[in-house]
Amino acid sequence: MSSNSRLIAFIVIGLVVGAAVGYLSAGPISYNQQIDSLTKQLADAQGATSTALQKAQADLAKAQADLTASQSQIKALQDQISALQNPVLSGSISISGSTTVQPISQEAANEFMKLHNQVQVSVAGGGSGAGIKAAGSGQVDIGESSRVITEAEFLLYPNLVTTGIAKDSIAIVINPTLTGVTDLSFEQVAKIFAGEITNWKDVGGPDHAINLYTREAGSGTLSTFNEYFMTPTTGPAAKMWTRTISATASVKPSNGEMRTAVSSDPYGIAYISLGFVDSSVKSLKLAGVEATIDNVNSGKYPLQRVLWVFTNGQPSALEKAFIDYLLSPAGQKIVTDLGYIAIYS
Amino acid sequence: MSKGDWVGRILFVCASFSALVVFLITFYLLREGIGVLNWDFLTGTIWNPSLDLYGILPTLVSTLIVVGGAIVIAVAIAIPCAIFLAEYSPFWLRNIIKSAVEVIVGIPSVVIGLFGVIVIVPFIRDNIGGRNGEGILAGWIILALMIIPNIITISEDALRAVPSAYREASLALGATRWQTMRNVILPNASSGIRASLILGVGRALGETMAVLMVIGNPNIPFFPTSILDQVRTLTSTIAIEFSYVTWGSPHQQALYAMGVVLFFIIMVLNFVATFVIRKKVIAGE
Repeated sequence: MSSNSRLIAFIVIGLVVGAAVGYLSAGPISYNQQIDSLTKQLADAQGATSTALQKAQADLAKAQADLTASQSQIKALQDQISALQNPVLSGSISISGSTTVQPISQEAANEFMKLHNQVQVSVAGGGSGAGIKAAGSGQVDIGESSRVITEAEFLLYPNLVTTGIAKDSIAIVINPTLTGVTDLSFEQVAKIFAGEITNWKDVGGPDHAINLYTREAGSGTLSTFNEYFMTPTTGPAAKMWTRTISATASVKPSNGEMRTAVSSDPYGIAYISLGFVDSSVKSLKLAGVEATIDNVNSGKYPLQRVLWVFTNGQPSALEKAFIDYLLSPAGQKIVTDLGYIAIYS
Repeated sequence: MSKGDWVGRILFVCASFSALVVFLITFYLLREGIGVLNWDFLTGTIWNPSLDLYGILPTLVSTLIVVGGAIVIAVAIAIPCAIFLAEYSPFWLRNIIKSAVEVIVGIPSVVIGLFGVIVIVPFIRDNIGGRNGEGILAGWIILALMIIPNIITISEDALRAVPSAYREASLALGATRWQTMRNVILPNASSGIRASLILGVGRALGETMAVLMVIGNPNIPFFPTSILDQVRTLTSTIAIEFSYVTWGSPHQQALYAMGVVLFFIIMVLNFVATFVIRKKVIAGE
């Protein structure tokens, strides 16, 4: 071939090849276009997604921030609620009344003041009648008594709110050196205190006059004693007789003084709260039953009474806290440690 | 206005304040107690509040017996002691005794009552008799213990206040110390000594806590027949019963009336004392 024809051949082949290539790459080009457009779409979509993602992330962050804010609000409100429910207690409570309940409230007051050291609690005695009157007339915050309110007192002080905080009994006590007397029947006790039996030898003791001790007229212990022994309305001697305590019985104005009088008088006899019985006096059996907490709980010792606290109207937050403390396990442990009986036993 | 006027008026206000207080107390007592204060109350023999019987005669008689006996015992011990301190004692002994007496004056009456319950009452019960040692005798001893220091200090001051010229003149005339004391100094000091007795009686009448602990306090008061009987006094009855009386009840009024009676007795006593002292001042000097 000649160089021209070779050149033409090359050109034609080149054109053909070029056309073929062109034609063939048109596919890829359109593919590319498709790919590009798809890529572009993808990129757009990705862009949109990432925008949406970013937006969503921003929303999430905002929502989380809102959540945190709400949570801290909730916590603040919860703190407020618990602050209202368990306030840091401060203030003072004055308590007076029954000398039977006085040791319990004194010990509980000490412990309560240790738990809440901005609170002052003061406890006095005076007898159940004095306590009811003091609480009802507003002289003290909490009154305590070892008997229920009488109708006359309820008419005078109709707003008194009562809570039972312990149980107790009454023991007949004599001097530990008095021999021969360990057991008395209900009727013997009534006769002794009425002055019908006047000598210890009539009940098994030595030949000596019996020295009687009794409580002042406002005492809850006295009125319980009267209810069971002298003019019995309850108990095994109910409605069997009516007697009055002898005029020569010596009046002592508290459980403690009754116990002291008997412990220093070899021929004395008195009645005191079961929680006051200790080794300085001897408690007598009643109709064969020993005066112990177990016997009182089981009912064999037939004398049981509830010890009460009163407030004038519903108790304030501080008073309620103290009364709740008395009723709590810690408070009831104080009750049983002192020799009384827990309220829920 | 001069300064003297101004001070005088302030002092007048202070003085009238104390008079006002006494007047208010009297008025309040009378107002509360006057409703029950009648002849039956004063001469009634049964005090039983639960039966609405308010007769204070046994309590009143017991009070007078207890206070009277205490005064007799106190005078028998205190006046000779005062004479000894004023005239006969050496200087060092006088200091010791005076200090001891002044300490006893300061002891709270409830502490003396405790002493009575723990020491005197068992002593009486074991050695002298009586039901359980509480009673009039224990009250006498306790009240005497409280009054004696008062009487000693005031009487001794009264004896010392007699001008020494009298004593020196008497001694110079050849009288013995006892003759001087009996005929010169004691008559001159007698108004002061009587004043101390009046103060002692006033304190004994008003003494509540110590008497309450040792006097026995029977359930229903009765007339005592021996010094070992248990009794009630006006003050011990008020102290025992006041905490539980219902407001406005006759029982409360009766207790106030007891206060009025006590107040009245002390007023009479003070009046007698003033009269006696004034008479002595007019007649003696």
